[in-house]
Amino acid sequence: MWQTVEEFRDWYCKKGFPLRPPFENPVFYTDNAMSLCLFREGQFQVELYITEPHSTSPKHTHPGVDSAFVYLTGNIQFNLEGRDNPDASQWQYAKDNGAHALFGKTVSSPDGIPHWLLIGKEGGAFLSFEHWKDKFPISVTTNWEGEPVGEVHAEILNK
Amino acid sequence: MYNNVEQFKDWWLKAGRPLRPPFKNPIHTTDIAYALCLYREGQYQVELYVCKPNTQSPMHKHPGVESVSMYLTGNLEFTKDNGEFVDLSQYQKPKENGAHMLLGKGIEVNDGNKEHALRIGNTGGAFLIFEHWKDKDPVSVTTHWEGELVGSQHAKTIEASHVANG
Repeated sequence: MWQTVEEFRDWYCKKGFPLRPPFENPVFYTDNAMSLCLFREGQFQVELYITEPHSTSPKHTHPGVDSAFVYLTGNIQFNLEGRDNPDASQWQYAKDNGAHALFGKTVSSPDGIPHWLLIGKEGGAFLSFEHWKDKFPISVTTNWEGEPVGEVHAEILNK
Repeated sequence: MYNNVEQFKDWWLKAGRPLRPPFKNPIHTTDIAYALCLYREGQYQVELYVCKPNTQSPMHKHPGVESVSMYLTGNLEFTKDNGEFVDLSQYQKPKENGAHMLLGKGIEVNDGNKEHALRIGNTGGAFLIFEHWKDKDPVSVTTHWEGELVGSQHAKTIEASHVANG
């Protein structure tokens, strides 16, 4: 049905964000974020991440996973190694309909490119679209290469 | 468009579950759950709650907020009128499409005066709560809470909300 994570993302958004959280492995949490898988089909899934205010994630990758992030709300700075990472603080305002100015903006994060997040005092929420190329999807929280977010995350990674 | 919370829920589902988190007051966290407002319009909103495994809320209520919840996934138990938890263990299995057997099931309307509690099992869980705020602008039922708090993080979130919103 989809060949790339961008095709999956576009399909999901055009379909009107279908909500079909799986029975298996739907919820994960770390020291400063929680995730819910909203939809999973084959090697593709989309996870909703909700993060606490003032949280950060160290530079990391998700081996074997192509990702595309879609901004929902809050104060989130996505950073990709080797790319221009514009300061998101300039877009911290509401649109006329009350949504965040960055709502719907997307950032692709190909497999192997390190990325990291900075979250402001408002916290933040985003969608993580994922194509798991060589294993069944669980959560990028557990498929993580790099320094963990904190002690809770480290414990999850060591399981 | 809608005159009560059930009409709002039906409208939101039929309209294709429009996703439009607000800029203002979108996220609230407690010791056991994180909430994101998915859509807010006037006195109505729908929040998504993601809950940590093996946790429980004390009995509480949300005065002035009419609400109805909808099950998404995980091992969640809500209380009945008598305060006892409904045993949903028989439904802890997937449907053929991989979704939870209880996906989409509703919990009866709460007029805001009925005390309730939530218990979460070892998989964690998630649900939607549709809300009609009858006499004030919507923020989050996390902060509009009467009863014992979930924990220290919950107390901080309520305090921060009061500072921001008065």
